[in-house]
Amino acid sequence: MEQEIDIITLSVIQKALENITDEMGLVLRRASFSPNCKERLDFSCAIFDSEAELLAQAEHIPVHLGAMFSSTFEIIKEFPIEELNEDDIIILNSPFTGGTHLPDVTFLMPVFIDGELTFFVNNRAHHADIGGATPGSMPGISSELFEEGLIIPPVKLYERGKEVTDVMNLILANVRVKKERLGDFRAQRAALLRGKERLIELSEKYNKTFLLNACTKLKDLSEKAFKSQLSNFPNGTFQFTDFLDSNGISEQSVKIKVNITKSNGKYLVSFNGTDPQQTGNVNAPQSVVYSCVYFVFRSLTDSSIMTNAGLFRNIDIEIPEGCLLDPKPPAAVSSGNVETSQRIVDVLLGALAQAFPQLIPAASQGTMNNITIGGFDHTGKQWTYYETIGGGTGAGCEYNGISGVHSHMTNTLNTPIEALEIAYPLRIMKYSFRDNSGGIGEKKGGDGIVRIIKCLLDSSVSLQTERRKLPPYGLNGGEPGLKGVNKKITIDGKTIILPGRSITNFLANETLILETPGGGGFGKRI
Amino acid sequence: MKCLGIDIGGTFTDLIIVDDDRNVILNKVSSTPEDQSIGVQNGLQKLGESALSNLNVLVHGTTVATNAILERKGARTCLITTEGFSDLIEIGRQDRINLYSLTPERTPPLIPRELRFGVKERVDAKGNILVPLDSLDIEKIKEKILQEKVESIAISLLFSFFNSKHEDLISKRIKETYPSLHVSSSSFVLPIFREYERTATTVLDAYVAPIMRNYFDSFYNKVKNQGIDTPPLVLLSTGGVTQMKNAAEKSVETVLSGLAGGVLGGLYSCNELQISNALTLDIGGTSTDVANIVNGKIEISTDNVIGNYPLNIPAIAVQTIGAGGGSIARFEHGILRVGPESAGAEPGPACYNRNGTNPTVTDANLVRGLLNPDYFCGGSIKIFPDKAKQVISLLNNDLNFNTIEECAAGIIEIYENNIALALRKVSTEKGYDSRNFTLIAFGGAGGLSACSLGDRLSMTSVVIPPYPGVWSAYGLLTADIRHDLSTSILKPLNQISYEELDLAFNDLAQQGIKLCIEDGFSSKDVLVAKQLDVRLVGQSHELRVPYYGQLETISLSFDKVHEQAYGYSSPEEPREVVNIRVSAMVPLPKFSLPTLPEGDSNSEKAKIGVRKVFLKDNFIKAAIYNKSLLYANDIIKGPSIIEQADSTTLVNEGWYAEVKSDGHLLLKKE
Repeated sequence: MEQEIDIITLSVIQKALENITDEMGLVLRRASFSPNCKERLDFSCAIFDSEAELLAQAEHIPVHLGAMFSSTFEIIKEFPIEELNEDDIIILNSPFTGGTHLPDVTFLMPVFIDGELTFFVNNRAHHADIGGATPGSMPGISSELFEEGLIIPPVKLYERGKEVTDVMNLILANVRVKKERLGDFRAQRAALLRGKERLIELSEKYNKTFLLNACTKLKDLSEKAFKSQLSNFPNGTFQFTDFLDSNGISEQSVKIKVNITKSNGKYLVSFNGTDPQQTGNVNAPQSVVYSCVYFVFRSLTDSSIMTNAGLFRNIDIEIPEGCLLDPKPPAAVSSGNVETSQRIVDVLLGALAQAFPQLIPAASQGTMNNITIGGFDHTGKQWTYYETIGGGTGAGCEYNGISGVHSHMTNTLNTPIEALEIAYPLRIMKYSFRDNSGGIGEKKGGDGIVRIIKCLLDSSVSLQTERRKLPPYGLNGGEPGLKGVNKKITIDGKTIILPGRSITNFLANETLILETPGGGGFGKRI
Repeated sequence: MKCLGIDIGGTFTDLIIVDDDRNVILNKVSSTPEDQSIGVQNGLQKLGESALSNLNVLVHGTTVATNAILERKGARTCLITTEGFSDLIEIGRQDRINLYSLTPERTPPLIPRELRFGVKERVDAKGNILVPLDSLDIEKIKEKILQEKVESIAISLLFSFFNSKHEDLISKRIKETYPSLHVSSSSFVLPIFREYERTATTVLDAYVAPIMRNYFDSFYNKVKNQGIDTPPLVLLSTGGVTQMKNAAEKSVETVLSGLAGGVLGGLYSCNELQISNALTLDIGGTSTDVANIVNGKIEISTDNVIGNYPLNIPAIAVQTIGAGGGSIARFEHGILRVGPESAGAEPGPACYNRNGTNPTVTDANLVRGLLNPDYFCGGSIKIFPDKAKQVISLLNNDLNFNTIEECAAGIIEIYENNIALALRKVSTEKGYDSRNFTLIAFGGAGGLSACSLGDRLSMTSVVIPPYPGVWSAYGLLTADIRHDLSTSILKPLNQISYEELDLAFNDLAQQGIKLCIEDGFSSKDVLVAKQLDVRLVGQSHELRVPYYGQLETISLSFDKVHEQAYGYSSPEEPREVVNIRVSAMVPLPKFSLPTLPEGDSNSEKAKIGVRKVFLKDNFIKAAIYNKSLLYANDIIKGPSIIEQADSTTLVNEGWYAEVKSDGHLLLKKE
């Protein structure tokens, strides 16, 4: 018999679930070592039910939105529920089993209520390094996943609360800074334990059956709200195509194509017509594609609707076999998460603009401008600095874009200049808006950023940047934003244009100039 | 000794006078947001000459700076930065506020681009001058200042906390030409590394400085006109006080002044009742402020935010959420939400009958019978139960409860749940077990939810201060003189010599002592506390440890704090000193509250009636007591209601209240 659940209790339970994921995030952030977690908030925490349906997620970074669900789903495929025990923790990062790119390491723990597996808590954190060819595990150029770091399929790292030492040792033997990794793993585990503790408290308060009924009801409510919010979505098929500048190895454009079809209140998002798997690292695992699609639909709906499995129930995603959005081993993927994801959003929004011409903005910068600089300092110690740089966002029907900000699939913070100049042999010469780089239009796209970095010692500079060849599109007659530019100024003052993806040696006192793309304009300027 | 506290809130300006003979005079007048000093004048006039005669101390808590920032009504300010970095204040940390939105947003900076100027100069990460300051650039900026009618100037150059020469020079040159303009230098306001946060805090200082100077002048004049000649003290965000003329030098320190009084009031209650661990809860009309007191100490944080702008100077760690008597209930996507939107003072809850159409928490409490329509705010505000019933019943059309009372109880359930989550953030989520804490509840709406919130956090004792509605104002009178100073060191611990560290600490201590002397005290009155911000090399969040004048103890203290914060320590890892901090304090004399006559636990004399109230899911009869008729040691068993002019307390079923001799109510779970 299903118990009647009153609205008040339901509202309270919803808030409690959200709060548990927030608290998990707090624990993870405070205790972690990787700058990506503690400074840039590149992590997520979530609660799932025993069917791997999302119940609540702490919202830190959009690119994890669908990926959390994929990894939970893959884990229960690998580990039938009867093989999971209390206080087990499964670790994974393989992009072929629910991961995104290798530095993103997922932890998942089953939560038993009254002796029965009832929930999963999980989190994902971007680690500073997970081995592979280059420090930071995000090589600018790679053609096999093996170059990008250690691949961890779903395996138990803790069994009934006890560390599986063999697995831990194997992982630590393959990464660059063992102690730091260990610290981060501990932080991830501490966050899961906190989540588990809170879920048990909640189950004691309400009793399990009641709580699960409430969760079912909450998912149904989100589904209902999703449907009613998108009731004005016209029936039909909307298509859009855009390109990546490069396949990661050569300057060969790569096509991403989408068809969004609405019929009978259901949405089919098909990537038929997208280019096949690439030799470079632009391939994006399915979980990243899910994140992009969910991000776009999440942004279309009111923020007060709860983020849970119900919200996405009426979206079907079709990814053709063998295309770059369903890479097969040993495809390289390190850029899929950070660059291809932005282009997937661009094509999704481009298609939606035909359904909602007044609602959808022009393209934003469409890249995260990943820079990794490394070398050896005066004492011979190895150092690595990783950063992503904001740009312009697209203008909309009623607003200008904004300048120098992260858009769409990322929202990570920058590293303070004073912090990085103290830590690394680098000097920042300029960090400002890139004037007049936003697309012209009735409404103007946001401007990009100019960041000039001088290497004080010989260094290696690895770039993963996009929109260097094809600019972010404008809409309704608005002009595109300016393309990004990467330059090297040599000691003798010569300017060399660097390709979007490159690994280049810089001598001491040579300078890197990054000019990030502007957002597209909206409407013809009269 | 006689002291006056003046606390200004969004709705009311509260005044309280206390003297050595334990006389207390309270007064509440409407706030005057356009010029808060007018409300002060009204309040003083209402108190009358004799009440104000022979006043020794006047302490003021203000929200003028807070409001100037939130409403973007500060001075026309310009910003001078290192060339190439003048957009930094707008770029911020490159993030947007709303993660999932087609229209990303960023809080616009307080200084528009046309008022941000770069100068050719550069200091490196060791404090060496790489590029000397360009005089010509300063001349050009001086012209701009005139052209653009700039009223206040913020200067923040890279690495100025290591070498302030260029900032000092610019400041000097501008002051020579425009002696009347205010100049805030980052090396003075916050000589701490991380350029965005330092610049943003310096901008806030420049932005509010002229406003605060005017306000302090006008406050001082109005107070003087009432015959008060003691120099007014103003409450700082740290909970310390200083003379207004000192506060005007670094007005950014008053930005969270309005939040600090309540926590000080809570600390006073703790001291009186010998409570060492407590959560303070101040529920007002639009917001609720919660904070923790651990081992008798208030938590100070340097990681603060106001209106999305970072404010990295020390302030009492207060968590504020949008929940209060005016919070609006609405039904959305199948879920009932209460707050953060508030009906505010205008139009106010529907029951105020000022054209408010939204159901609020106050309306719900009125429908439940918890508020006395004839004695709301001591009878000064007339409230209409019919209006409340009307709006709640309209909401109930969507919710389908059997009765509107059930609907009202539902609104309160959500509202109290939100507050309970905020209380958890300052207790359980920081690793403190709320069961060992006492809840100190005040503010106009604190008493009604106190027991219920205690239950939600498994707390078994709750304290209601004697004057809950003006407890923030009373808190002002418990503050001490305090000045906080800090500077960045950024050096590995094993490379720092004792002499070097001591010199740096002494420099800060001397500055602090000087400020205390300016407040009218002698250097021997001053107590100095020293702390360091330390982290492991490779970490980016610092932990604060005390400094006892020995290098060896730093590492040990750090390991202990690290263990407590993160669950483990790493004694073998190298650590670095990031900042050093000094607090210079002068304790001020404290007061006692009037004592009540001794009673014999029988509270019958104070019982003024019985009312039907809706608790949980049914109507019950609750006895109503008049607070002013209660004696010390009286016991009141729940369910009952204790009414007083400035607040209403609900003693829930299963709880009882004990009246303390100074008027505190100690509520305990049976």
